[in-house]
Amino acid sequence: MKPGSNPVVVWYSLVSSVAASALLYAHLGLLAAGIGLLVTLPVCLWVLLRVRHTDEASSPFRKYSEQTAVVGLALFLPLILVTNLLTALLIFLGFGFVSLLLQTHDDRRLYLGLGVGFTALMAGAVVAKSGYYLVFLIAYAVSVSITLGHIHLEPLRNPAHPWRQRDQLRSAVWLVASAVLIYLILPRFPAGNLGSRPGSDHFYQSQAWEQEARQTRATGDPEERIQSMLDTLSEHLPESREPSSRSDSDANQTGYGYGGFGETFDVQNPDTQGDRFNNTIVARMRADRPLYLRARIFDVFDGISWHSSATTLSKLELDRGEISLMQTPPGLDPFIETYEVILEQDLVNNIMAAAVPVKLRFPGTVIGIDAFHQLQAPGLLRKDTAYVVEFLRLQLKERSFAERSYYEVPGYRQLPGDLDTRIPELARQITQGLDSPFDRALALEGYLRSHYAYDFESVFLSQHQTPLSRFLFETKRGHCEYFASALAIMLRTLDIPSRLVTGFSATDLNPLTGYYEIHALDGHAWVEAYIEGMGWLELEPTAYYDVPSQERQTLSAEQINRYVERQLRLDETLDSNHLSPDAIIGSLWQILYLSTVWVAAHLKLMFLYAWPWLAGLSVIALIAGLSWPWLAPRWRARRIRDEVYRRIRDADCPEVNEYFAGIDRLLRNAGMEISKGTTIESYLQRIPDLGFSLDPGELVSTFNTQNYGTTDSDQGVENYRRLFDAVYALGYGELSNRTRSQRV
Amino acid sequence: MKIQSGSSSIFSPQTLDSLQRWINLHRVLWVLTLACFFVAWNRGLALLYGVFSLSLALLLISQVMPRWQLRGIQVERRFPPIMSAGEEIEVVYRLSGSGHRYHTRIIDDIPFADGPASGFLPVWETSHEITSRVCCEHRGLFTLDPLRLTSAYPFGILSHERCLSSPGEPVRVLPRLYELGELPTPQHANQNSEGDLPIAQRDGQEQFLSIREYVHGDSLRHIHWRASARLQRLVVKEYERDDRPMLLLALDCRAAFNKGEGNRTTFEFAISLAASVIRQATREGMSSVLIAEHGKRLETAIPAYQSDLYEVLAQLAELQDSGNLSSRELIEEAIHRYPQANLVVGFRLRDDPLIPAFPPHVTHIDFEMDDESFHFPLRHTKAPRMNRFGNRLSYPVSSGHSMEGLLQ
Repeated sequence: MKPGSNPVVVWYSLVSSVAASALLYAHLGLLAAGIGLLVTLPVCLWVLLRVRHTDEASSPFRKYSEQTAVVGLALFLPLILVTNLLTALLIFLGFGFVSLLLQTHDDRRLYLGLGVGFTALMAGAVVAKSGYYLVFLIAYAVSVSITLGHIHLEPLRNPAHPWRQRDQLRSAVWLVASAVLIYLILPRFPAGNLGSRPGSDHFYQSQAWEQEARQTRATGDPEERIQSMLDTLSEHLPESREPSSRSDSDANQTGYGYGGFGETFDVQNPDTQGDRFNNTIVARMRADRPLYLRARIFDVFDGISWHSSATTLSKLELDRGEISLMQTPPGLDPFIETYEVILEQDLVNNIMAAAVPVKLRFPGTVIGIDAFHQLQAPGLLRKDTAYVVEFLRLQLKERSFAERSYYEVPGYRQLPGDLDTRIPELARQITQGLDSPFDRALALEGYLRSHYAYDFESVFLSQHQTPLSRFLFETKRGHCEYFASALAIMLRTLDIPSRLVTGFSATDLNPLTGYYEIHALDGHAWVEAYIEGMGWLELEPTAYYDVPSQERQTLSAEQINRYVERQLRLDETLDSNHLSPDAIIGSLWQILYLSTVWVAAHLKLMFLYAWPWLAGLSVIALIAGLSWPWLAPRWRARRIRDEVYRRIRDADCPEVNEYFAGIDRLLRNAGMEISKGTTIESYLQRIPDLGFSLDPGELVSTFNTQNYGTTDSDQGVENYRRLFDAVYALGYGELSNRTRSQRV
Repeated sequence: MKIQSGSSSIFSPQTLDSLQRWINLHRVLWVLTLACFFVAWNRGLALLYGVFSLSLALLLISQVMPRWQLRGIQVERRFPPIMSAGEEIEVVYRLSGSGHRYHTRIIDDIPFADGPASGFLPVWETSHEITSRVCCEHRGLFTLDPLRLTSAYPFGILSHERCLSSPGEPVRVLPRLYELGELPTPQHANQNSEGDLPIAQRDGQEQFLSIREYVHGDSLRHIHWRASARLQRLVVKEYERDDRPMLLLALDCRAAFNKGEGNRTTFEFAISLAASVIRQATREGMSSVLIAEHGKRLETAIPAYQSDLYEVLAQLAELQDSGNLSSRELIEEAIHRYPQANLVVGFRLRDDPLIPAFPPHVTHIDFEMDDESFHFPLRHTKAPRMNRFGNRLSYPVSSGHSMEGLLQ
């Protein structure tokens, strides 16, 4: 069967073009997708229209098809060497599709072409990181549903009964609606990460670092070297230095400008470049749960600035892009999790890693590690760099712990020299009556989260003032560095070792792409407190940020809900211009999201909370459905009887007619077949055969007298009433049996 | 998805065939869906979960919607009242069901037709009729198979089939009829010369028997005008006359006589010839007697000018090759019971023995079946020619030649 009809040609071309443009969008962006659509659609149309007029055996396109296939094959091997396997395969797939298109002589090849298109769509979904890819998915769903329908109907085509456009649309709507429903309620399982290795566009190497790594290799494994660095730190407290947003090594680099990623930073103004005050995505993370990615750990606070004692880096060589940073403690394998970070902007050289990194797969030859386990690359991390980290997830009493081991460093208990005496007093008041350090830490965290407001303006208003006292006792509002600093210092006043951590709060899961979106605004500071016998407890004193959830969010509806909430909060925080075109488009997008959330949230609620009711209703519906054939005619018979009596009672029409109509309806309900044009005489003649004793002639006479005569006969009406009651009293089952036997 | 088979293939043709049968769009889509889910799960990619949802929805709808479209459909099947082998007939299917129904296909494996009758409706509502034309290939009494309703709505990925049980009413297909031409003039008992078949004459040795409906060819002299006026249709008087030609036809229903395959066998040809000869005989005013033995005896007398031959054709339709007596044996036995028969028709295979000579007033039509031509229907054979040996007329019958005008 050739693709003979125009609808097949047009829709097949469209669906192929949509798949091609989706793939182009995922790899090259919107412009490439648009150009792809404009090119592939007419080309497909032209080729198919030409091919359908040729025979397979003598087709002039055959040689072109074979040549295209050969070229695709010839390009495949060099492309593997130049690019990567996936790209080479996709290009080969493209050539294969063109080759196939040139020989589309039957429906099997059309289906094969659709399969290639579907594979392209899958490949695009692997690479795409934007929610707009869903638009391509929906376009593909609509076009493929109509294409499949046309291909199916092609050999059965009936010009008298064409497939109407509204029916085509109906099937497309069914498909899209079902897909969206499945997508919403589909549980997301933790990623398997079997054999996954990130593809990165950049590679990092430094001969000096590599040489250093080789020289120090003899000093032991990474853990031993970190121990050695900690030994050095424990000897003395480092001197305070001038606040700086960047380390010396970063001085001539440009990238994301959050000061908290340097070796030292000023809590009053950690954003000297103002890079943090926008909603730009700086990185994406693929993980099973929200995480706090650590960039720097600070231990020394002078009242205004935080400094890190761990200024020395130990260099570690990677073995084919992979390195084990610590041995997994026995019995902890189930707590090892993996995440992947893909940078969307240039960043500083900190390799963001959730505590505690166990293994790193990084596109480079060497990395640096400091005494606090923080990782650094040999240079500025560029956009499109991707790396994978395996980390050890520690959880006790439903809280996350960064590390278990503790090594006493003087900085962990250090307090600023001019510490306001009201701060220790406040800490004592908050923790009054609590004995364990764990409870005290949580109490302080809770107090800050509930009594203080998050405010970016504080960055600019707090210049040249003692920040903590003003934050804690006067303004009671500030940015995250205030919260974190206040908590860390209050913990230290209670003799609980603590440290301030900067990094990214990766909690904003885009439910459409499945990636956690790390915005510029997510550059963040939080606190870790050491609890004796438990480890380094992660504390989030800033109410604006969620405490990283330990629960996996397995339902899309929930993810959508959280994402929209987060977006709304970001908009509110950044106070964006509501009249700008971007803001209007954003608002429309938000409305779309919110409506999706409304449906999704209710679906989720329904599935989570109302499932016993739903199950009960389903059972009732099932029973009702199964018993309906038994119940319905009996119920109808009862309704007929009630209706007849009501009409006789209420209306002034002849009773005989009502009884006769009632008898007729009861008999029809029991399956008696009465053909059109049957006279009342022949009709009533059949009733005695059903086992009712009556005189048909008398009944006919009564009927005629009542309707066409001038006299009434009570006895005649009584006969009808008796017959009606007898028919009803017989019951549906018996009446049905008798009508059936009459038919036979 | 067609796998090219070739001599160099590492797979045997059987393996390739079974692979081709196994690989269909539905299964391929399942494989793609599972692959999609695996990658989505392994990489934790939400957009790939979206693609997975799309393909799962495609499969789900393909599973559910066809079933939904076929629910509660009733089909009434109507055949023409009389069907004969070789005829093209119209079968009407009346579908009824509630609401709109999409992509409904009806398939009827009619046992006597050359192929299944089918019809397709992209959309219909409440009730609809489909007419399908099929060619009746086989005579006989058939019990109809259940009707099959299929739907692959809306994507054609998966087709659901529903069998509608039929009431099991048998359907009869009459044997194929040929226009053989006029029967050869029989020899009369009191005549030694050949001559035309005498028509019934008022003053002949005839007795009024009954009236019957006028058929084309009846003499206007025989129209019973008074009865015609009363019945408002033309009827003719029928006479019984002693010297009227009578046909005796004996069919061979032995399995040994049944050579060939399908509906092109010596037995089927013989039945068609018998039916055609009887029809011709009644047309020509002969009474006929059909005798056969197919496990049980069949002996049917057909009066001259019988317009309705349904009964005898129905009997012929149901004949099976399960008899023990040859045409020759039946004739030898029956000729004594029907001494007035002056036209005897028999069937035999080419190598079967001839019936011994009949008396001179009996004309013997001997249909000699060329069994080799039935065994090898594609083999070229010469056009058969009638041979006359005294009062025996031998008509060779071969598979590859038309029976039309055989007696001409």
